[in-house]
Amino acid sequence: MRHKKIKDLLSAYLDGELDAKQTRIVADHLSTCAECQQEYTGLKQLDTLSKDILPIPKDEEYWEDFPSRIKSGIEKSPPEAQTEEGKMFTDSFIKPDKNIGVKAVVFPLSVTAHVAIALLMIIFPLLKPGNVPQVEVYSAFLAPPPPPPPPPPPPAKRRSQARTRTRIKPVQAQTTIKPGQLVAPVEIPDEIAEEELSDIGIEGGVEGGVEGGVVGGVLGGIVGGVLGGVVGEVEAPVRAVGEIKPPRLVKRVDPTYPEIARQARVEGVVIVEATTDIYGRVQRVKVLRSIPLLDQSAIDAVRQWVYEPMVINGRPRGVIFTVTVRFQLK
Amino acid sequence: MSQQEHSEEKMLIVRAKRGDTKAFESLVRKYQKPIYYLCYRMTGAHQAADDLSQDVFIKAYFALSHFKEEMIFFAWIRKIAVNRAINYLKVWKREKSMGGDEMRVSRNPDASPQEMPEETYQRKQMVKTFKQALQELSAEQRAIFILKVYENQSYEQIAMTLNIPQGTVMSRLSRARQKLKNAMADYLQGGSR
Repeated sequence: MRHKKIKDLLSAYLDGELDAKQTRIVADHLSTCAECQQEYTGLKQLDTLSKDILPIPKDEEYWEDFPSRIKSGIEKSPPEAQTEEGKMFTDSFIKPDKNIGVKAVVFPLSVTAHVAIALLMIIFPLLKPGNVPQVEVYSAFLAPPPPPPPPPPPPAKRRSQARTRTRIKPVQAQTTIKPGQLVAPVEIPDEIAEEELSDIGIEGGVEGGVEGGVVGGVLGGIVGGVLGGVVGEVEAPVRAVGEIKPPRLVKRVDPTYPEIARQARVEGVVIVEATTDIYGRVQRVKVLRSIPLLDQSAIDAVRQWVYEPMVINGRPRGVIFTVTVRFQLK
Repeated sequence: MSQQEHSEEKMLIVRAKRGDTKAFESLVRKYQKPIYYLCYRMTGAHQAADDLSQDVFIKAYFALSHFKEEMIFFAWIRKIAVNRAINYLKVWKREKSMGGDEMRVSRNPDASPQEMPEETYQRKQMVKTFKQALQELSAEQRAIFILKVYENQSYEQIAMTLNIPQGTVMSRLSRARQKLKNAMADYLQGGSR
């Protein structure tokens, strides 16, 4: 290991540039190491050989001419180069500044400056959000081409039927069924089921929509739309297409413009499909046209909206329709 | 340099600083040869050495205001020459690597055979090999080697001329010599491997 190190020192040893201690070490080593001795001789010979190789001397004519050519060169130099020569001259030493001390100071500074600028660029817009964005909301009810004429339900008939039934039932209950008295059934068994429940059914059906709904629902299962219709059984919401006009908005809540979307300057239109229940409250909201940053805000807002209940054929129905929420930055 | 010569030179410099081109001309005449040879050794070709040495003197003329009384003129101008030569070689190398067609430095010193007519073939070959090997060194290595071997500068002086630490001079010179020695192995009796 020592040997390799000393081999590197041989060049300096040859030039007599080593300090006393190193010189002694190298000299000691040289006296014992044949390889280093050979190396040292080689270096010495190289120097001699190099000094021996001289550039080809130029003739006198060349040297006579030399200064005058420089003179003309000086005269030819542009005047601005002459004045600026001092600075240019220092630059012409292309030895790049290898001052690590300066670098050590400048580099962290530079990094800090870059980070500061980057942070500024991120934080500044956050602190100053700019204009208040405007959210424009409107419900658009997409009207497809007129659908085929709806099957004409005979509302009058059904209603009268329902009325007659309901009117009849109490009569039946009053006349044929007396508490504690067994009466031979006059009608088919499902009529008995009706009778058993009719006590509640009558009252509920007529007066309380809510309670009746429960009973009616049970009854409705058997009798069909008759009872249910009266007590307001929930039917599948209808789509606001064609003749069915979208309900009127009773309560609306403006969507908030999400902060992140505002920062990102995201604009656009979110189209949602809202489903109201029979009371006109928005029950379900489904996004049809999505803008990921804005969807939630639109859904949250529309969910709080209340519409005028839709009455179709005398019965409240849920409605499905689309609402377009436009998010726009001003 | 005698005392008289020294003061004479100082006078010339003072005059040249004032814009006396005649005085500067005498200075050029005095140092043109060593500067030219230094440039020639650095570049390895006459044309380049000629351009470079001219350039060095022109630069020196305009930079005379930076020359301080206590400095030695030759050391000062040599510093300019070495650094400009390194610069030149780097630019040349870059141009060459970029495919520039400006081949001002002949890679083959044999291109001007009439320059050494009296030399034997073997010596010619040796010189050729040596020049080739010198060209293979990096610009700094070459500069250090030339300053040491031909200009007989101390490591300290070389370090100052090139603005590098002395330790760098030492290691680069060692490496340069190693390379040259390997290239010249055929012509070195004892040191051949």
